[in-house]
Amino acid sequence: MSILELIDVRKTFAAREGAQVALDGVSMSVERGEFALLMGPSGAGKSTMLKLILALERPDEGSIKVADRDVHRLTADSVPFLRRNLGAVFQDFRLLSEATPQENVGLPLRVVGVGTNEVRERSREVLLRMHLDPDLKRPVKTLSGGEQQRVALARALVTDPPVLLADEPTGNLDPDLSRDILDHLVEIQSRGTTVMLATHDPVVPSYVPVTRILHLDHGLLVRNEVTPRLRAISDRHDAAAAAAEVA
Amino acid sequence: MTRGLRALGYVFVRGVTGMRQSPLVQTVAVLTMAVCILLLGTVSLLLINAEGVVDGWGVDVPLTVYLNEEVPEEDALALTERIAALPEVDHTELVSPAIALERLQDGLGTGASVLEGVEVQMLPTSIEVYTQPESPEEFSAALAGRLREVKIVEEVAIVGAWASALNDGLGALRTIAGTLALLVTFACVAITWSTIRLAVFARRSEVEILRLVGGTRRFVRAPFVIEGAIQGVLGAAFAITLLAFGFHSLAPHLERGLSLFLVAGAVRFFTVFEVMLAMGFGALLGVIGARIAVARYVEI
Ligand SMILES: Nc1ncnc2c1ncn2[C@@H]1O[C@H](COP(=O)(O)OP(=O)(O)OP(=O)(O)O)[C@@H](O)[C@H]1O
Ligand SMILES: [Mg+2]
Repeated sequence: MSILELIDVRKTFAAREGAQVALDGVSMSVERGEFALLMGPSGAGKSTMLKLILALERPDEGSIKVADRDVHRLTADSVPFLRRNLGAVFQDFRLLSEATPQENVGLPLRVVGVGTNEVRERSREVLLRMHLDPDLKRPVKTLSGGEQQRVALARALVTDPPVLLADEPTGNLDPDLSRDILDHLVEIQSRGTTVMLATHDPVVPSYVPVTRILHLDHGLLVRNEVTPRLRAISDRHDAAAAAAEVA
Repeated sequence: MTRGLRALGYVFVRGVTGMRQSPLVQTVAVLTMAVCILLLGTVSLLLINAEGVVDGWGVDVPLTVYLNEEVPEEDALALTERIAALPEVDHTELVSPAIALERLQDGLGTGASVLEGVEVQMLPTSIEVYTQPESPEEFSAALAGRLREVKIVEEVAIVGAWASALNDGLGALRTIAGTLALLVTFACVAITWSTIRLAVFARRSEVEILRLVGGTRRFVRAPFVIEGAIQGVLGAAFAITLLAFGFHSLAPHLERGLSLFLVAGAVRFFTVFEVMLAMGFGALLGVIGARIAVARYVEI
């Protein structure tokens, strides 16, 4: 069963020189439990695709489904509940610049009313996993780009979301740290989270055991390449589903 | 449920912290609201006390005819009926000394002890004349003139003339208060609207981020609405405090100057209930202003 699905999605942005096409009739789907890579040159439409899935932008045409529900048919009141299931790392981080790392990471928990102590515990724990000092009392804006990126990733993971959408989550990291974070994402995926990662770092596909590579170029999906690992993933999920049915 | 409460607690904290981010704007907003509410409060207080005076006087009795001492009851009754028979008169009422004493005691309430030792016979018998509402103004004066000629009549008091003037004044005061209430409502809503709009712009990235991490519309908007409510309550509280100070320094002078007119013997301030009502009113205006701003400027 696909967890993310785009059907003939077209998205243009109004620009002074006329309409700027960001996605041009893209169809694709990602199965539950996959590690999908979204690749392509700058301006190809990677970030736009992730924003459409998060219902931060509306498509001009076509539909986008998360767990078989059309996200752009959701009422304004149910969109937040969609976003709570989609951990997201943005290319520009989108952190509260005046708040500390811990306050930033705790935000998705605050939103759902988790108590202060639990928020602190869980935020500290994810920050540690991201190799950050969990008790740093500085505002996030004083952190380095790589540190901010890891705070953003920690915030996306603190709720253990079933899906993680990460836009260039290693773009600002040195090779060692980058590998470490990628290892972490692989581990998360191995525990069942669906990961979709946008990057133009050509090293990533050779380092990460991905299930699928989506190539975008000028808004067109030019290649949808499935790796042998996808079989293993779908077998595992089929087995889990069968087991659930038997039980 | 507890999660909802915790989220609310967090929202409240954010509302208050939000206010601290722009203390100057907040102070100006609260003070401006306070001035508006102070104006309305002053007029309302005047109105309440003026109404108290007018009620106390029982001005709905246009004409009171006081009879001589020791007038036989039959004569008093006969005169009462003769006046009642006039077409311009609605009805009349004979007030015996006993009834007069009773009314006086009622009117004085707990202060009735001053009447101890007052003999019923010391009070005069009187006839209260209620004219038809459509009877001409001059009728009361003419009737009073004729009644003064009657042998058993001691004195005639025409309350109607100045009572109607007083009522007119009261009506004008009510109109002023009503208009002012509208203006103040509008002004306060506009003040919170503009400060909350500024706050939304100042915290736009925060709003955006809360949306990204799955904050509901209510969760994102609530801190601003709370901010508006706090502004309103503070404005009202400040206005009432000022008014209370003003009242307590002026009241003794007023009471001395107006002692003739003050039936209850004192001017009064707002009751606790009325004060609560005013604070609630302030909060409501703040909430309305904030909600308008938030509906327009915080998109989801
Ligand atoms: N809000 C916007 N307004 C106008 N044009 C936009 C907007 N967002 C994206 N675009 C345009 O849409 C195209 C796709 O942008 P997008 O951000 O999706 O690219 P990308 O693949 O993420 O690139 P990068 O690798 O540089 O992040 C670009 O040409 C971009 O200029
Ligand atoms: Mg991008």
